[in-house]
Amino acid sequence: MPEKTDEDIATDVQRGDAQAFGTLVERYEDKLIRYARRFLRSSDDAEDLVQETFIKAYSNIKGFDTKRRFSPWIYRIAHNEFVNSMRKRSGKENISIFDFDLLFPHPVAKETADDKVNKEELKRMLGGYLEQLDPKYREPIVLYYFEDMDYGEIADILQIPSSTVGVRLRRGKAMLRKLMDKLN
Amino acid sequence: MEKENNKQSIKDSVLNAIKSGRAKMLPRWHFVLKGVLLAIGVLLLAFLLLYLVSFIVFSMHQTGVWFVPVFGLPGWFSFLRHIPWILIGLSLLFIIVLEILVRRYSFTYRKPLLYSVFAIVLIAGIVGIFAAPLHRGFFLSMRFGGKRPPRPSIPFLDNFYRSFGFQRLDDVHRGTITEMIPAGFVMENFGGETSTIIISSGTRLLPINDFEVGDTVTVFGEENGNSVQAVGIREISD
Repeated sequence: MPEKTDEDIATDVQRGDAQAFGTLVERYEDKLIRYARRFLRSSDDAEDLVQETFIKAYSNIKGFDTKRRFSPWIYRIAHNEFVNSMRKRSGKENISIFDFDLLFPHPVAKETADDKVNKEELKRMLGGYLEQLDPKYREPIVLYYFEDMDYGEIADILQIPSSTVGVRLRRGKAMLRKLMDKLN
Repeated sequence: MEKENNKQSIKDSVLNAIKSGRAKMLPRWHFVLKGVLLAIGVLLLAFLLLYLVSFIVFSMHQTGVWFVPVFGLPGWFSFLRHIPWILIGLSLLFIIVLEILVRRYSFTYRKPLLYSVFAIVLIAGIVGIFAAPLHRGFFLSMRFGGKRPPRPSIPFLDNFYRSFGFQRLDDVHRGTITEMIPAGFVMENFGGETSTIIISSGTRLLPINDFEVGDTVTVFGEENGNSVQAVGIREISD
C-alpha cells in the first residue's frame, strides 16, 4: 500500500484524527530543526520554536487547503515563528518590514542543470559562512540549497515574488563569495 | 541517542499539548470568516477608492480646474495649486491599505509590488474618469441653486460635495453664458452668482469660435470685484 501523502494525513487530522498529526511531526521535525539552526544564528531555542511551529500548525490545520502542498504551508508557519523570535531578540538581527527588492520586476534566472551540479558543491562551501549573512539573504539560501525548495515554494513561504527569490539568492551567493575570499 | 530523545520529546510534547487541550484546533468557520472579512475589506476599500477618485475628477470638472492646463504654464501652476490634495492624499492612503490587503493573496505577492500598485492606480484612474459624471446628479439635486427638484439634505455628504464641488477659486471660474456684451459676456455659476467676463486681444479662446448664450465655459483669469479679466476661455461640453 503506498504511503499516505502529507496532504492525505492533513485531511485525516482535519477530520479529527489527532494521532495522525504525530506522523506529520515525524516527517517534518528534522527538516524544520535544520532550517531553524541554519536560519537563526542561535540554535539554543531551535527545538522550542519548532515545537511551537507544530502546535500552531495543529491549531490552524483547518485553514490548510488540502489541494495545495503541505510543505510550503508548514514552512511558512515556521518562517513566521522564527522571524518573530528574531524580532524579540531585538538588536541581534535586523529584519526589515519593507524591502525595495519587492518593488521592481527582476529578470528571473532560470534553475538549470548546472545549478543542480553546483548546488552540492556550493552547499559544502556556503555552510560555514552562512551565519555571517543578513537574514534577508540567508533564508532563501537555506531554503534553496539546504531544504531543496524551488523558487515557487520559497516565494510562497516568504510571500515574496519569485523573481525576488532569484535576486536574493544571487546577491546572497555573491556576498558569501566575497566573505570567503576575504577570510581565506 | 540524544537525537532520538529529542525527536521523541518534540512529538510527545506536541501530542500531549493536543491531548491536554493546550493546542486546540480552530474551527473551519474561523478561517472562512477571516477569508470573507478580507474579501469584504478589499471590496469595500476598492469601492471607496473608486468613489473618491471619481469624485476628485468630478470636483475638478465642476470647478473648472480640470481644463486649465490647456492655457500653458500659468494654467499648469493654477492646476497644481487647486488640485484637491487632501483627497489625493486620502486616495493614496486607501491605495496603500488596499495593497497591504491584496498582498495576502498569492496571485499578488508572487508578482512585484509595482505591478499590483500600478494595476490599482490604473483601474482607479480609468474607472474614476468614466464614473465622474455619476456624481453630477447628486450634486445638482442639492439645495443650493441646483436646477433639479431639491431633495432632503444629507448632512455629511452635502457638506462634502459643497466644500469640494462648489469651491469658488480666485483664478478659475466655470459657468454658463447668460448674456453677450460688447466687452465679453456675463456668466452664471452653479450657485446662481453672475460675473462679467472681459475678453481682450490677448485672451486665448479654445476652441477658436464664437461663444453664445447657453454655452458652458471655464474662464482662466483673476477675479476683480465682480468681473474677470480673461487670460483664457475654454468651451466645455456640459
